[in-house]
Parts: sequence; structure tokens; C-alpha cells
Amino acid sequence: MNRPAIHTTSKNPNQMKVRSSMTESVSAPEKTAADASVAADPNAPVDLPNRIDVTDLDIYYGDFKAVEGVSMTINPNSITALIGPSGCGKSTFLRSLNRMHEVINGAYVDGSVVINGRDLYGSGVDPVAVRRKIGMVFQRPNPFPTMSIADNVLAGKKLNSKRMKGKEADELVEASLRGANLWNEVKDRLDKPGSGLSGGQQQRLCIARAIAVEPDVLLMDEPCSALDPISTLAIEELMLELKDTYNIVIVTHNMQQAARVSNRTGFFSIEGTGKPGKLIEMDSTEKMFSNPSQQQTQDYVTGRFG
Amino acid sequence: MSLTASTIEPDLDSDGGNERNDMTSGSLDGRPMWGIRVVSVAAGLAGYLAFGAVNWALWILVGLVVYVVTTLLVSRFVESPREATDRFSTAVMTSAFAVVLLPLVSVVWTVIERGSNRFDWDFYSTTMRGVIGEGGGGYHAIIGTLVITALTTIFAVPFGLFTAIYLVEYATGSRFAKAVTSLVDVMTGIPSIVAGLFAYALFVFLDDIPALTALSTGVGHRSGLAGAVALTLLMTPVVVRTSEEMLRLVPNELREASFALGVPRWRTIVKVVLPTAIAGILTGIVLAIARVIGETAPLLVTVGITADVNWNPIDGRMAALPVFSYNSYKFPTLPVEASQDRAWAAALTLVLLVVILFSIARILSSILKPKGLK
Amino acid sequence: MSGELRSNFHEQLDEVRFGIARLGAGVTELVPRVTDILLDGDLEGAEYVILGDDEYDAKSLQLEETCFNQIALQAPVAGDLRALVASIKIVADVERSADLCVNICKAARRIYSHELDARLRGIIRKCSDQATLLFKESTEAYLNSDGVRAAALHDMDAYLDDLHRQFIQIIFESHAAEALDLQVAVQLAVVARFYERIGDHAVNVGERTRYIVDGWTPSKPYAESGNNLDAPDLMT
Repeated sequence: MNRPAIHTTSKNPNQMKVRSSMTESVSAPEKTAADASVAADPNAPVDLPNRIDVTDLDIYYGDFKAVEGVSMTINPNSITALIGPSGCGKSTFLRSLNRMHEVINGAYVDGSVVINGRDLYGSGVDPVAVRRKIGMVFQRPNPFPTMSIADNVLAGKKLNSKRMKGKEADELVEASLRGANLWNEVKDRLDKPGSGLSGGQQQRLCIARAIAVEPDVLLMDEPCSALDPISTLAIEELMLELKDTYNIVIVTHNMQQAARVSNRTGFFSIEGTGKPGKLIEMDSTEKMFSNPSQQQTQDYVTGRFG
Repeated sequence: MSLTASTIEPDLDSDGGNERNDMTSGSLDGRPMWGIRVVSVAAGLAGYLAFGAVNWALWILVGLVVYVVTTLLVSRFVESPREATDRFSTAVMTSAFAVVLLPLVSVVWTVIERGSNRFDWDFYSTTMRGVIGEGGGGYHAIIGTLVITALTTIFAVPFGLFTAIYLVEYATGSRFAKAVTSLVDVMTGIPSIVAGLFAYALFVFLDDIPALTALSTGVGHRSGLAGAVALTLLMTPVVVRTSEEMLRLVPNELREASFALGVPRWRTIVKVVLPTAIAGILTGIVLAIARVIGETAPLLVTVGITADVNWNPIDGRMAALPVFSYNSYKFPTLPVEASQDRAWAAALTLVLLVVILFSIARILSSILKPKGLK
Repeated sequence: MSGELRSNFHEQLDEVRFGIARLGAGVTELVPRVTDILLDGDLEGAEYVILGDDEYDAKSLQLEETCFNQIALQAPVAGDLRALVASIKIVADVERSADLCVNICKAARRIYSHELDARLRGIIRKCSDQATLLFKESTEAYLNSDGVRAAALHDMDAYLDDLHRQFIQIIFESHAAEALDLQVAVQLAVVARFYERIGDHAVNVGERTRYIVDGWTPSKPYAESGNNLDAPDLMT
């Protein structure tokens, strides 16, 4: 677990990634919501840093309940995919993992999301601090247009006014861009604006920007929806490399993508418009795509309903 | 028409002699069109030369009408009816554009022509102190305009920009924000004399409070500061509206990207949103300045006029270009032409100031505009 | 979303299913027929069946191709994928069973003009009926995606294995009693094997049908099938 996925030029290969050890152990919750069948991963050890335990999470936007009763365990060093039809709440759920849904006024949750022994929604927890530990990549690549490529990568640090010496900054830029498989393509134009890159490159730049702040978890909301097939495959390759270092959770509309990259898959669905979304089934990806337990899951993955 | 398999294919010669069908027609592009234009211009010119007693603008209009009608008729004959309608619409729109250009060109031409009479160093370096008749200049008025406008900007920009930031970033969508926006919209329509009277009354009121006598103005409650306050009332709503629009144009995904990196909201605004929108905001500010720099009515009430330079905005009357121009025209000394020349020169100066401001805005905009923003 | 999705795909899946069921029904008819050919010494019938096997092979190939194309083009998952993958294997089982019927015909030709006594005829008829029943059940279980019916095949096959053992026993006894030529004895032993193999293929079809229905796989095939590993199995 000490092998960093970010290649650095500095002498100490472990400098870039320092793991914080767990202060208390949290046992994997086996409880499931009323109708969901959530199979715990039999191979995962109980004590794991950066494991996310979600317990009975309800997400509200004002009076409207968007997501109801979700419980799941998301293991680190793996990729977890969330699939489901449009409007089923999977994106809302993803955003609740780093408290991004609170950007919309009136959004709140009921339930807990525990990572490394701390409830993200506990009293006194600062959402901004949460987001520094749990990064996010969005559907459309969104590099900052006023900044160069290097500045974009460093944005997480610079925007928080962290002072970095020139050499340290350069090393971070290179390490992050290497980690995102983008270094070779942009190393000659680090001071040019990010807009000159193609869609796939821009998305990798956003990923480099996200991993430069050294989060524990990486959330991706349909990261390849806006990209062409080759760029999509490049991002998927990157995901498979990154999972050695981060806990990755992705939301995707593309079931083949979920099947290709993820270790475990969760299926969300919704009974009708206006009803809250629920987690129907969550299991290893092989099981979900070869022999799911729930008929709803089977209907969705085989395309018998939208 | 034959009944063989060739009836399946479009038979272009099936009209039996009439060359015109749906696919081809004659064309007016190129030389014929230029011919029509020349004819129209000639018609206008001929009318002017023959009956020039009427304003030259009228003959331009005549030429335009000839253009439109000729285009329609000729096109209908040579090309198809559809083409004729197309050309007619284009001709009408081009003519409308020309009509709009007429007064603009006329004004600029007039100002330059008449203002150039006193476009000399003398005008820009002397005041009206002790001057009656020939000579004198607008130096004091220029200083006054610059001082008052600078003050106005210092007041209006922070108020306006922060209001816009609040409306867009913090209270977006709430009923309060909608109410404020409506109110600001109303304020953009305030007649300038109302703003002037309000500022005057405010300073009269302040004068009665002993502790604030420092702000009191010397003679008759008039001061550059009062003028600045009046102009601020006029400038702020414009700044708010344009800044609001520019801030809304910043894609929300940039804010989201910043939040996702764990950047607090205010830092996001300062370091991501504002730099992205700054080009548009600056242009908006310059537009607002251009709006107020030429306001005469509020300055008449609050600032008055002097003959000498006054750098101090809280010490009595100042001169400003629009008021100076008004004064020179309305209350001329003998010879009248000298005063009128000074008035036109002041007007020309105002126009030049606005042109300079806009140029600065364009330059700044192109320097600051983020290359990546579509 | 109203209306059926992927209707073209589902039509193809149905086509595969019906095609394989037709093949299976064909074999179900073929088994008693070749038994008659064997017992009656019907050379002409044998010829007919042997030549007719080409048609079976061609149809099997076509069904396999359809399955493969659907996998390539439709990216099936879960139940659909199980159905296509299992169907390819089931086609092989059915086609092999048809080949076994042809083999019985060839054996019939070799023992032509040799008389078979009543005891032998009896056991042959019994094996044939049981194999036919097994194949019929397996085909219908597959056609209707009936996992329960498929599970029942196991015990039916156990009975056929028993008959097979009896058949071998009778052959030994007949040969020892000089009532049966060595040549014929060997051919009949092979024929016995063929019937037993047809039954096994039917069981395979059943197991794959259960896999299609709910992903069931045999975890310990030998222990569960009830095969007695001590039984004399001369032909392995």
C-alpha cells in the first residue's frame, strides 16, 4: 500500500503520499435498507483507512426528499460504480459524499457518512475541509480559463493561499500531471492556458488538479460523458491506475464502462417521478452483470427498461 | 413527357421552352447589383444638385428609397419572386442601418467641425478667471469633471460590484434578490434632475447637523462631493446590472470546480469568478462612467459653476465640462462667437474623453479576457 | 418509457430458443426411429437417417452463428448473456446427440441379418424409451425456461444408467451362453453406450437450462449426479 501511483522526481518517493493511520476502527455495517440487497465484500478486511461507510442516508432539497435510506460500504483501493436511470438520485448521492450538494440552498441530509472514523455530517465539521479530503471531477471538463495549465494543477493549493516554493510547486505539477497521464503531452506548454487542450486532455487536467491536493477519495460524476470513445478509454485506463492510491467512486450512464472498470457496482432506481431514489442492489460487478439478485437490476442492465 | 423509365428522373427541360423553373434562374449578383446602387446614388445626388435647397439628408433618403424599390422590381423580373423578397429585405435593412448612421455621423461631424475652432493648447491650459470675451479656456472644467467623475467611480463601483456579487453569488434565486434586482432596474430610469435634487437636499440636511459641518460646503450647499453623490445615484444601478449580467455569464461549473477543491466561497469569488468576468465588468463600468460623465442637470443643481480651478470637492463650487458648455452657450459674453466656440470645444472634449475611456476599456478587456472562455 | 426496448434483440433471442427447441424435438423423434431401424434391420431407413445428419449439422452451425453475432453486436449482460453462452453449448449437446443416433444406425448396418432375442430387444426398447423421455423433457424444459423440470432430469438419467448396466449384463450373459456372436456383442455394447450418452447430453441440456434460469452451476458434478464410479464402464 505504500507504492505511490504518482511518480515523482523527488528523492523521497513516499513524500507525495502520506497515509494517515486510523485512530479508531469502524466495523463494516451489514445492515441494509428495507428493500435493498447489499452484499458486503467478503474479501475486504474490516479495518481500512479511507473506507466510506454510509448509514441510512436521506438527502433532502428543501422539502423534497431526493434520496432515501441508502446504506453502503465503499472500500478503498477499488472503483465503485453507481448506475441507474436518469433522475434516480445517484449524482445527488455522489455529491453528498463530499457535501457538494450543500452548494444548493436548502439542501441537507439525515443519516451519516463515516470515513476514517469521522462522520462527515457530524456537528462542527466544516464542509470546505471535507472537500479538501474528498475530491471531485465533473461531467464537463472545467479547467479555470484565467489560469495556465500549471496554475490549474496548483489551483487547489494556490486558491487556498498555500505558499509553495518554486521547486516544490514544479514537482507537484509534474507529479500530478504524470499521475493523470498528461505530463508528456503538456510538459512543453505548462504556461499556456488550458483551453488549447482537447476534451480528453482537459478532463485529465481536471483529474490532475483534483489529485494535486492529495485527497483520500476521488469522486467522478460521469467523467466520460462529454468525451469521444478513445478519450473515454484513456480516462478509464487512468482510473484503473489511480485506484491503487485512491478510493474512487464514479457515477456513470454507460453500463459497459461500469462493467469494464469497477470492482463493485451499486444500482439506484426510482419508483416514479417525485419519489425518492433508492439503492436497489449493490454487489461485485461480476455478479451484477452476470446474475443480479433483484429483478429490477436485471431489467435495467439488460435494457428492458430505461 | 415520355412514359419510359426516364420519367423517374427529374426532367429539367420538361417546361418545353420556358427556361425558368425551380432550380435555375437569372442572377443579380455582382455587376447588376452594383449598377442598381450606382443608379440610386446618382438619383440622390442629382436631386441634391438640382434642388439642393432642402437638407442633404433628405436626398440620401431619396436615394435609399430608389435603391429599395429598384432592387425589388429588377430582382422580381430577372430572378425569382423568392429571391426578390430576399433582396428586398436585405435592402430594407441596409437602408435602415444607413438611416441610423445619418444622425450619428452628423453629430460627430458637427462637434468636430465646430469644436475645432478652439481645439488649441490655450483652451486646455487656461481657465475663465478674469476672462471676458475672447480667450479663456476649459482647464478648470476638465479638472472639475475628472475630480467629480473619479469620486463618483470610487463610490459607485464598490457599491455596485458588491451588490452584484451578493445578488449572484449569495442570494441567487431568492425573493429578496428578485426584489432588489427589480428595484435596481427602476433606479436605472431615474431622471438625472431627480438625482441632483436629492443630493442637494441631502447636503442641506447634513449642513444642519453640527458634527457634520466638515462636509458642509461653503457657499449655498454646493460642492463637488454633492455632485459626486448625485452621479453615484445614477451610476450605481448601471454598474449593478452590467456586473450582474457578467457574473451570471461565468459558467457555474467553474464555481463547482473551485468548491470541489475545498476553496471557500469568498475565495472562489475573488480568485475564480471575478477574474473570469473582469473583462465584462470593466466594460460595464466604463459604460456607466460614460453615462454619467455628460450629465448636466444634477451638476447644475449640486455643483454650480466657477471660473477658477477648484481641486477640492468639499470646498464650494467647481466647474464641470457639461455645465461649462451650457453656461457658455446660454450666458455668452461678447463677442458671442467666442463663448459659443468655447462651448463647442467643451463638448468636443467630452466626446474625446468618452472615446478615450472606451479605448482604454477595449484594451483592458483584451488584455484581461481569459483565453479559454467561449 | 413505454413500449418494449431492444425488441429486435429479443426477437433474435427467441429465434435462437425456438431453433434449438426444434432441433431438440427432432432428436426426440429420431431416437425411437433409429431404435426401430436397429431392431427391424431397416437398411434403407438407416441410409436415410445417416444422410439427413447434414441438415442437423448445418442448422446447428447457423444457430451457433446467430448466438455469436448477438454477443458481438448487442453487448448482452446478465440473463441474456447466460442464455446466449449456454445456448451455444446446448446446441453442441443436441447436435452430438443427433450424431449418436446416426452411430446407432451405423451399428444397425453392421449387425444386419443377425437375430436378436427377446431379452435383448426388450432392454434395447427400454433404453430407447428412457433416452427419448429424457430428451423430450430436457427440450421442453429449455423451451419454457423451466428450472424445476430441468432439475428432475437427474433422477431420470440415474434410471437410464441403471438400464445401461443391465444391458451390458445381458450382453455378457448372452455371449457366454453362445447365443450371441462376439462381433454383435461388441456392437451392441457400443449401442448401449450411445443410449446412455444421449441421456447424459439431455442432462447437460437440463443443467445449462438451470444456469440460464438463475445462474445455477453444478459445484460437485460427480457427487451430485449419483454416478457410481465403481460400475463397470467398458467404453471409457
